[in-house]
Amino acid sequence: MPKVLLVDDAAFMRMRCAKLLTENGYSVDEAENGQDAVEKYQKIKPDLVLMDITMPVMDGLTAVAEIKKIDPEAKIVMCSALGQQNTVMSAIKAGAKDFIIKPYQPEKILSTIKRFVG
Amino acid sequence: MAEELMENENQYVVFRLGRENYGLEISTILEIITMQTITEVPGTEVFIEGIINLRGRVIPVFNLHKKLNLAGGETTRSTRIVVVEVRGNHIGMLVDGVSEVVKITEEIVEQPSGILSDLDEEYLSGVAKLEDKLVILLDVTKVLQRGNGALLENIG
Amino acid sequence: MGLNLDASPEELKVFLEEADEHFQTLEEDLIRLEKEEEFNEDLMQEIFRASHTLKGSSATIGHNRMAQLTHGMENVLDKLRKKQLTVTSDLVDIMFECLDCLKVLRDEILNDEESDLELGDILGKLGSVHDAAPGSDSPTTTQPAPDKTPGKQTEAKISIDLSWEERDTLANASERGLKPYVIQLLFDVELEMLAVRTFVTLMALNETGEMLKSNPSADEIEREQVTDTLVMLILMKDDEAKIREVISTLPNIAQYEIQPFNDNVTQGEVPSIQRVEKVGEAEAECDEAESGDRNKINEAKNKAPTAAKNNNAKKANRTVRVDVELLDSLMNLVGELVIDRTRLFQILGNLEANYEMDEVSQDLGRTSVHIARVTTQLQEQIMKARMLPVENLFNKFPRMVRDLSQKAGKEVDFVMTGQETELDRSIIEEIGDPLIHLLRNAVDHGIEPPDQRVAKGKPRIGQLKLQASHEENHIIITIKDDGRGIDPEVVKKSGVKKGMITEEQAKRLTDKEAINLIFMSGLSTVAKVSDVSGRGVGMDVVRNNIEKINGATEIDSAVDKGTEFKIKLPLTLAIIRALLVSIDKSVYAIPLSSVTETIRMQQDQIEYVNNQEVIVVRGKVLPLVRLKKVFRNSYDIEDRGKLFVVVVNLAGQQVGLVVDSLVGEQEIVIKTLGKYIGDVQGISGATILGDGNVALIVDVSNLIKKAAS
Repeated sequence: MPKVLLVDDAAFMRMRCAKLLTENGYSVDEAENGQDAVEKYQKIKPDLVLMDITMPVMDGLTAVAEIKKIDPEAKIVMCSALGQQNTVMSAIKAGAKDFIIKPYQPEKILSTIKRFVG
Repeated sequence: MAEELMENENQYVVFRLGRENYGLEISTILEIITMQTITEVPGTEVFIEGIINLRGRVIPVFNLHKKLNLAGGETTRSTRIVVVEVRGNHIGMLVDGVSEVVKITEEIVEQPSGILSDLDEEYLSGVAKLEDKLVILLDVTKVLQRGNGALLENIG
Repeated sequence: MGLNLDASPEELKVFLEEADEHFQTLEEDLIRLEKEEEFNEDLMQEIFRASHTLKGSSATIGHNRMAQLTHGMENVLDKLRKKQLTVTSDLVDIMFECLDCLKVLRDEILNDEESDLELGDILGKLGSVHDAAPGSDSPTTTQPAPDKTPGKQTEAKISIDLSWEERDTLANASERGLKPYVIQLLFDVELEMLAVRTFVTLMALNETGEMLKSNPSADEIEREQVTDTLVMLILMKDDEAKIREVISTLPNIAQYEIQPFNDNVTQGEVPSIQRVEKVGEAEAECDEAESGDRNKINEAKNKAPTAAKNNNAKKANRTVRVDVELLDSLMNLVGELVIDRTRLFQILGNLEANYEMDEVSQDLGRTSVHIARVTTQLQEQIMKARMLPVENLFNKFPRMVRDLSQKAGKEVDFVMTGQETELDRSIIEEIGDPLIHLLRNAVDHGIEPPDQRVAKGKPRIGQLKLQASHEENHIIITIKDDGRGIDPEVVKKSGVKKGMITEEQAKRLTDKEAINLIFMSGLSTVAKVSDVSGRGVGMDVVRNNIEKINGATEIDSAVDKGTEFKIKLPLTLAIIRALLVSIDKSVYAIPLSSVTETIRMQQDQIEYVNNQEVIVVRGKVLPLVRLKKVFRNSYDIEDRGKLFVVVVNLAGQQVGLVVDSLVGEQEIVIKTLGKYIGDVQGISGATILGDGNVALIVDVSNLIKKAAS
C-alpha cells in the first residue's frame, strides 16, 4: 500500500484529503506544518508528500528543501492556491515534482498521485 | 405477564393508610421498597417527610397521612415506600402496607360525592366497590401537588 | 433554503471548529495590529494565513460567498504584509466588518440556511482599499504575459536556430546513443498557473532526456513569459513510442507532436503543431487506465456521507472530541464510585473492629485500598477531562471591550493574563455572564472619559486587567480597573435613599462594608441606565450567579484609584470536600472551602450584641448561628457547657455555625434536592454518605445572608 504524507495546517483540508486517499487504497499520514512534515518524513518514509505552501512554523517551500536534504529522491507535490506561482516555481526548482491547484477535484489529485506512486 | 386487560379496566395497587384502602394506578408506580431512614429537609411542608437514597439517587418522600389529614401514620414493619413517577420526577410515598394488585373496571367506580367527608375530594378519581372492600382511588398527580400548585411549576 | 455544501456533517463540524479558531485569531490579531506602531511581520503573516486558509477551506466545501469574502480580505492582507498598504483605523474597522460578515456566513453553515447578508458593500470597500494601493498585480490571476507572439505557432513550420555548441552536442549525440527529437506541446486552453505547468513539464521531460533547447526557455518560463505552447529539442535514449508514453501521462497537455530531428534533413524546420478543437470531452485527460479510478471517485462523491464511516483511523490525532453529555455521565459514575469508596472503608472499619482479621478480610482490605486508589485517580482524571482553559471564555472579551470602549468614548488598554488556567466546563458556562457584566461596568462606569482622566492627572488611557490564576483548590479571577473607584459615601447615601438601610446603619458601616452594599439588589448609583450595561442585571445577580456555583465575590475599591473585583471559584461543582457535623443526631455537610476554622468553646463565652449571640475570637466579634434552631427548629435542652463552632467565611463576612459535634472531613458528591422539593433556605443540596444515609449540605452564603439581616 503506497504511503502518502499530507502536509497542511488546516485539519479540515487534511481530513478531506485523507478520506479520499484512504478510500482509494493509500496509507495516509498527516503533518500540520513544514517542520512536522520533515520529522514525519524521516520516520515514515512515505512514497509521496502532498505539501501545502502557506503554513506556520515552517512553510512548504522550506520544507521541500529540508526533505530533499534528507532524501534526494523524495517525491513531493505542492498544493497551491492560485497566485502562488512564484513560490511553486521555486519549489519545483528545489526539487518538488509537480503541483496541484486548490481547491482540487478528486480525480485530479488521484491521477497526480498515481503518476508518482502508481 | 398477567391476562390481557379489557378496554375499560385498569390495574391498581391497593395499599393501606390507617384503616382505609387506597388504590394507585399501576402505570405510575416504579417500585415499592421497604422503609429506610428518611432525612428531614427543613423548611418544607409538613407532608414532605424528607429525602432518601434510592440506589445513589436522592428522592423526596411524601407523607400521605399528613397530606390527606389522616390519623395515625406510625411506622411499622409493614410500612412501605411506593415510588411513583410523575412528569419525569421520582417521588416516594409512605404507606402503611401494600396488599394486592387488582383489576378495576369502570363500572364499579363511583364518583366521590361527599361520602367521605374527611378527605379532600379533589385528590380522588373515584371510589371502587370491590366485592370485599372499598378502594379509594387516588389521582397521584393531584395528590402530590404542593400547596400552591407548585408541583408542576417546579418541574420545568 | 439549504446550502448544498460539498461536505459531510462530520467534515462540516471540523470546518466550523477550525473556522472559529481562525476567527478568533483574526479578532485578536486585528486588535494587536491596531495597537502596534511598527510593522510586525509575524503578525501580518499570521493574519494573512488565517484568511488564506479560510479561503481555501470555504472554497473546498463550496461556500462561495465565504470564499469570495475571504478572497477579498486576502488580497488586502497580502498588500499589507508586503508593505504596500499601511494600517489605519479605517482599514481595521473594515476588517472587523468582514469578520462580522464571516460569522454570519458561518452561521449559515451551522443552520444550513442562507441568510440575507449582502456582500456587495463590504466587497466594494475591500476593493477600494486594495486598488488604492500601489504594487503588483492581484494575487489571483496570472496574466500569461505573451511577449512572444503566438504567431509562430500558427505558422505551418517552426524554425529552430541552434548555436554552434548546440550543433556540436547534437552531432555527438548519436555516439552517446541519444536521438534528437522535437517535441511540441500544446497546453490546455486558459490553463491556470500556466507558467508553472510549463515549468514542471519542462522539468519532467528533462528527467528522461537531455534538453538542448526550449521555447520558451527556462528563464523565460520563470519570468512567466509563456504561451500555451512549449517546444523542446531534446535528446532521448528511448524511441518515440516510449516518449509518447511518458508525455501521455503528463497533465494538462491538449496535444503533442514528436518528430525526430535531423538537422541535415529538416534544416532546422519542423512542422508546427496546430490546435485541434476537441468536442464533447469532459476532461482533458481521459485515459483508459484512469476509468477504473473514476468509477471509484464518482462513488466516493455520491455516497451519502455517514458520520459513522471512519476512514480516518490512520490520522495522527492527538485529541479526541467528546460529547459534553458523556463527560457529565462519566462524572456521575465517578461520583457513585466515590460514595462506594467511602462505604467500603466504613465496612472495612467495621470488620476490623468487630471481627477477627483472617485471610479473607485482609484480602478484602487490600482490594478495597486498591479500588480506593484507582477511584481517586479516576476522579482526578475525569475532573481534568472536564477542565477547559478559561481562554475559551476570555477570547471574546478583547473585541467586546474594544467595541464597548468605542461606544462609550473611552480609551481602554485591556490586558488579560492567565488564560491557560483551567476550570471545570460547567463553571465556565456559569461564569461568563457575570464576567461580561463586570467588564461592562468597568468600561461604562469605572473608567473615566480621557479628558477627565487627564484633568485628574491620570494617563489618558485607562487600564483594565482581567486575570485568572490558581490558588490551592480554587481559581481566582480578578477584574481590575484604574478608574474612578466606588465612593462609599455615595453608596451609603443611595442605600439610605432607597430605604435599604437606615441612616444609623449607614453611619456604622466601614468603607469596605459600604462598598459591598452595591451587591444589594435595587441599588444603582448611576443616574441613568446606559444601554450597554442596563439590562436590568444588577450586581446582586452577579453575586448570586457566582454563589450558585459555590463561588465568592470580593470587592476592593478606592476613590479615583480604581476598583478590583475578586472572584473565587471552586475547581469542580460536583465533588467537594466537606466537614461533616452532627446536629440533633442528623449529619450535615459544610463545604470545606468556606470553613476557616473550628472552635470548641464554653457556653458561657457567648455574649450578646443587639440580641444576637456572638463570641469574641482573637479580639473580633463573631456572630453565631445555631444550626439546630435553623434546621431543626429546636433548642438545646440542657446547657451542654461545651459548644462546637464552625467558622465560615464568605466574601469577607464571617459567621460561626453552632453544631452539636464534628463528625469528620470527607469528600462528598453533591446531589440536588430535586425539582420537586426545589429551593430550601439554608440548604444547597444533599449527599449520600458512606453508610448510605442522606446528609444535607449547608448553604453557607444563604446562612450568612440571613445572619446579616
